[in-house]
Amino acid sequence: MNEGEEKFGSIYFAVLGAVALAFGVAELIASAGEGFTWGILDSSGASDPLFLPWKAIILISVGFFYLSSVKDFGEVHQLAKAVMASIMIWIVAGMAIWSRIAGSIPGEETWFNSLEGFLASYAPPYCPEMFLLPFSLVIVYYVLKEGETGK
Amino acid sequence: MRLRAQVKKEVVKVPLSVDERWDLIENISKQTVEFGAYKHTLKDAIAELTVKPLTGIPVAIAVIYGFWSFFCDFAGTLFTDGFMVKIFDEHWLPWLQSVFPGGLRNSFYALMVDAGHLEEGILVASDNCFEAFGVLTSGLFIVFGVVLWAILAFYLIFAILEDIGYLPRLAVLVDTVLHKIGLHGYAIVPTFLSLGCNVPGVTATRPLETRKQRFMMMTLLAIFVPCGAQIGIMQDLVPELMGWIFLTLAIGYLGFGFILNKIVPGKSPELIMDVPPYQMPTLRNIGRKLWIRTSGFLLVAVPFVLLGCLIVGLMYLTGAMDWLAAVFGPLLMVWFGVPSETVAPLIAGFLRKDLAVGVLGGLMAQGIMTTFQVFTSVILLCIYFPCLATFALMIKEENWKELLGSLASLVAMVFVYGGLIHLVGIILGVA
Amino acid sequence: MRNAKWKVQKSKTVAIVIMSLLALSAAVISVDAHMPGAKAPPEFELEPIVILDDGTEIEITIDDVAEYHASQVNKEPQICLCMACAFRATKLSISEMWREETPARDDLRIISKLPTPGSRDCFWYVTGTGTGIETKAKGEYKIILLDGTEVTNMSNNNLKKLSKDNTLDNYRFDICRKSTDECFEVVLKEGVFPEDFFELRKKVKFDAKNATDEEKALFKSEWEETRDKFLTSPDWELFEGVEEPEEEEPDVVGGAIFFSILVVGLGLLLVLSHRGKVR
Repeated sequence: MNEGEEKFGSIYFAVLGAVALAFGVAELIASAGEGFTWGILDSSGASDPLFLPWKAIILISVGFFYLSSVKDFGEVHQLAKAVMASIMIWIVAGMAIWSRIAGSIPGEETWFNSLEGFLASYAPPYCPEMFLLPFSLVIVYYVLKEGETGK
Repeated sequence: MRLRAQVKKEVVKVPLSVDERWDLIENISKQTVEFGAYKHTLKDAIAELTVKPLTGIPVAIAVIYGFWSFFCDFAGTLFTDGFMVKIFDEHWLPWLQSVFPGGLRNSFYALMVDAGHLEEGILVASDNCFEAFGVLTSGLFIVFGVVLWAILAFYLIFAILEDIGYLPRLAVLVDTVLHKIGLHGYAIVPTFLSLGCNVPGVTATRPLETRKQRFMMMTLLAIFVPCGAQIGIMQDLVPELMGWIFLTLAIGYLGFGFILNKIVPGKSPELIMDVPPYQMPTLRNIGRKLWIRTSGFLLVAVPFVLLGCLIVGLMYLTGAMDWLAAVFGPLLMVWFGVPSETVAPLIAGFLRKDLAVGVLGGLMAQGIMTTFQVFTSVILLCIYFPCLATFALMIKEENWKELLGSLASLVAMVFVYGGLIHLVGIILGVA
Repeated sequence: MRNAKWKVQKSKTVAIVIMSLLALSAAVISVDAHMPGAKAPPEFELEPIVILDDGTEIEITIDDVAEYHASQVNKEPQICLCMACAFRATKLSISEMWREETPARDDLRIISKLPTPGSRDCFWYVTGTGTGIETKAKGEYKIILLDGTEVTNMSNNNLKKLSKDNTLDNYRFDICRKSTDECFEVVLKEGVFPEDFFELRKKVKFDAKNATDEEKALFKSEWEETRDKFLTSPDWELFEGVEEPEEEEPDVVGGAIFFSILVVGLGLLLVLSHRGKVR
């Protein structure tokens, strides 16, 4: 990883960490009430009193992991923190997507959902971790880079 | 050759003193091991992060979230609610009701298909398999409609975590906490396995070194760890209470483990565990594990659930359940704060816990229990006795003294913990 | 309960006992807002009524009202039909008239055409005008019958007597905002009560000797069904003038876009992992 890449990674994951932290705090506050919906961002879907604070704690941890990784980002132990944070996002976002997949297949009255109902199951709004997911994928580039230089 | 000669020479001098042994080791390692600077790879750094408490605990929280979330959506949303309820309630039950000989007032029909229920004094047919309580309806629905998918989901994630190499790291992470209750971090493996089925969980206690550790582990598993089948049914019936149920069981697991550690004689030595590097799981391995574990589970569960349904049905028909409810009702009501009807699920629980929660579901549908009573009953069902299969294995794995000890612990625990929950309910004004 | 399920051979005895109990319970139905032997209501979610009592925000739940009602009629707390209706009517009016604001207790004026103890106790509790309610401010509450006469004697006995000829028309409430002099009239929809409800009520409650057991049982079940409607149905199903919220069209396009991204993403992942293996 060259200096430019390292610097970019540092800034990028600092911003992503701050956003994840903000999302986590917002979800934690929202979990005391009934969640929130803001445009296509939604945190009320998990009306389960168990899941929302649980997810919030994970996002807050993700935020801290990213933020603590930004200093000397190229160093392998620092990079590992960012990788771990991304994996945590993949877990929560993956489960949010899986939840939609599981809900989209069976129909309410019929065996299988109609095509319209199936597609509508994937419609917005989306939970915060789903927004973080694509941005967290940038870490794959750094992992591949590290793999090359590590050899 | 030189090394072999040296070892031979040293061995001749047996017994070696401690210092001499260390010298020998140093000599051997100098000649066999190449020393150099080792650069940590990304994999090593990630592995380190997952065992250090500060970073490992948040990771564990995320992993368990993924585990639970997948479990609920796979077993609950997709299979049980998505397809199985439709198959059993809308097709299987009405079909059996129409073709099975006898009809509502026939005892054999009641045992096999549908006992019916009273509405305004009239016996009417059930419209769902939880309430019908026949061997061919509720029995099959519990096994194939609910439990099978819960177990599949559980073992799938378990196999993935195992093959990735995360489980040993979780063991290292919880080692400190579990040492406080006299157990090794490895205890997390039987505990996790028991969350699928208590039977392999009890078997997995074998690597624990001392009788004390094994006894404690088996007792804790039998009392405080609900199996996947039971979790699946609970999730279907009382999803809103799951957090509280797990919290109560976890407090009991740690608290009672602490007490057992103090009163049970014996040692809890260290156990050296191999922590393999992280690796990609293979589809073949996962598939094989899933097949072996799920088929093994079904072989144990299906006969017990069907038999349990039959026994509970017969006890209702012969009036034995009434008698037991009359005898134990006052104790249940006064000490635990649950209605006398809870006797039925408790009886069923001797055979299968999932069946017991299923019976409880039937009582809930009749609206004779408050939310707190449901909560207390579910906890009681978890802690009062292991299912028959687990009990049989405990007889095999423990000597008679330990078995008696386990049973005594069970009885004491049920009364103390069950009473305590009732007391907390009274103080909070919910009981 | 379940015992009876299984004792099929004893079903006749059980049925006779149950029928006798049912008949007994129906026989004790008196001229009362309470319904002896009524089933517990189903699970419901009713937000409390929030009002300001001299600047202090207070929340009034339907259970609070049921307890107050019990104290007024000397019975065990029970959510009765009229009380549930009055509670829902108050909630609706507040949301229509005050919108996001919280009404002050002394800004409320309720004029009801319904002479029943259940609705009286609900309105008394909300306006703070009843006996035994600790309040700093009081609103207004009146019962003006369909013929225009104002009821001054709001005792249980008098209200029961006046309620003999109650019909759907009595279920009308004017809830007013005194400060702005605006009123909202709450009118029930026709289908809320079963067609024969008021006729049966009159017979069972005021002419019990001539009512058959079947009529008593039917009235009880209709009473329960209607009470449950007041506890669980949305406003637009209960009251006139409340529009049914439009069902949102499913966002198929949005879903399709997301689904396509998901499929492409998964495809890429598979290709990349396959390439990795080949290497």
